[in-house]
Amino acid sequence: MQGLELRLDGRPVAMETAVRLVDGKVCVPFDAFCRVVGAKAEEVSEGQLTVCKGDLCVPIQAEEVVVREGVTFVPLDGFGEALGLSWALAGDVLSVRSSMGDQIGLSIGQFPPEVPLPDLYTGERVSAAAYRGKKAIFYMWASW
Amino acid sequence: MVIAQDAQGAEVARPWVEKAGGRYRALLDQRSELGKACGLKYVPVGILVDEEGRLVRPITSVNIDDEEFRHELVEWVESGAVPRAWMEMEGGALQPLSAAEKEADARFQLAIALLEQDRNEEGLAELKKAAQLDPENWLIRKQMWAVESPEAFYEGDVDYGWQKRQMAREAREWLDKE
Repeated sequence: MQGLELRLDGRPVAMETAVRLVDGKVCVPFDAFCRVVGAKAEEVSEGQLTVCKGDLCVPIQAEEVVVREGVTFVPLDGFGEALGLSWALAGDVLSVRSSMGDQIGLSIGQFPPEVPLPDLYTGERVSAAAYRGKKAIFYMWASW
Repeated sequence: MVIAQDAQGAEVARPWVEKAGGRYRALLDQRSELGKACGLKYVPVGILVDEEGRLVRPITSVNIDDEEFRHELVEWVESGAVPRAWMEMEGGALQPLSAAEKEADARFQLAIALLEQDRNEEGLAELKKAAQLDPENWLIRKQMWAVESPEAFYEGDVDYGWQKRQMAREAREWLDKE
């Protein structure tokens, strides 16, 4: 089994237990991965796992669950699409994109709307993403 | 990083950035694209994000002359912890636009396009209609004032006395019509 590096919406995510490739299938450590993508992993009855995001809940097929070293792994294609995730594997990097719609907003913890704007002098388009990795303040003002 | 919400573009905004003399980057949101995405109705407004790009304060007004805010800012920058005051703040909810606000926005966009083409009279006419539809939208209303009466904004300091009188004039002339 091969350990994969996880990136979520362009950002690397450190996982205590790595995502793995099992028989060619991307399998994620269920609890940890759900937390990372903002979903809730639950065991609704013995052996029956589900994952919920908001009002949407997806049951996990029991036969798909794999336990390794005490950690429960589930194939990503068993629930990923239903949760609005898309992903691509390149080498040993798994890039996952979440449907950011519900994560974009004006409140604490959300991502502000992403609108690249031109530099006031050069016209070069700059996006807020250029500031990732630092704390940033974007001050909106006007000459009037 | 500062973002100018000036429909009249770079020329109008640049002198202010130069006067401030900061080392930060300056961008231009001439068409209020980011403004619209944030439901902006006034400035100044602050977008404060952590290293991941997540908001640490609701997107709402900021007053850099406010000592308490400056304390909170320093606290956040030095400790990384979100100040309690920010967690307890109002704001940070995008409201759906009413029909009047939608029309105001459409006219505002049209006004900006007209101003970009130096068709100032037509642009001003659209700004006026937009302002009447959404009088609490200061992005529209102040922009209208700045286009019609540049002397109250661009000759020396901003004339707040003029603004008060203008508001009273408008209250008599068109707000009363409601």
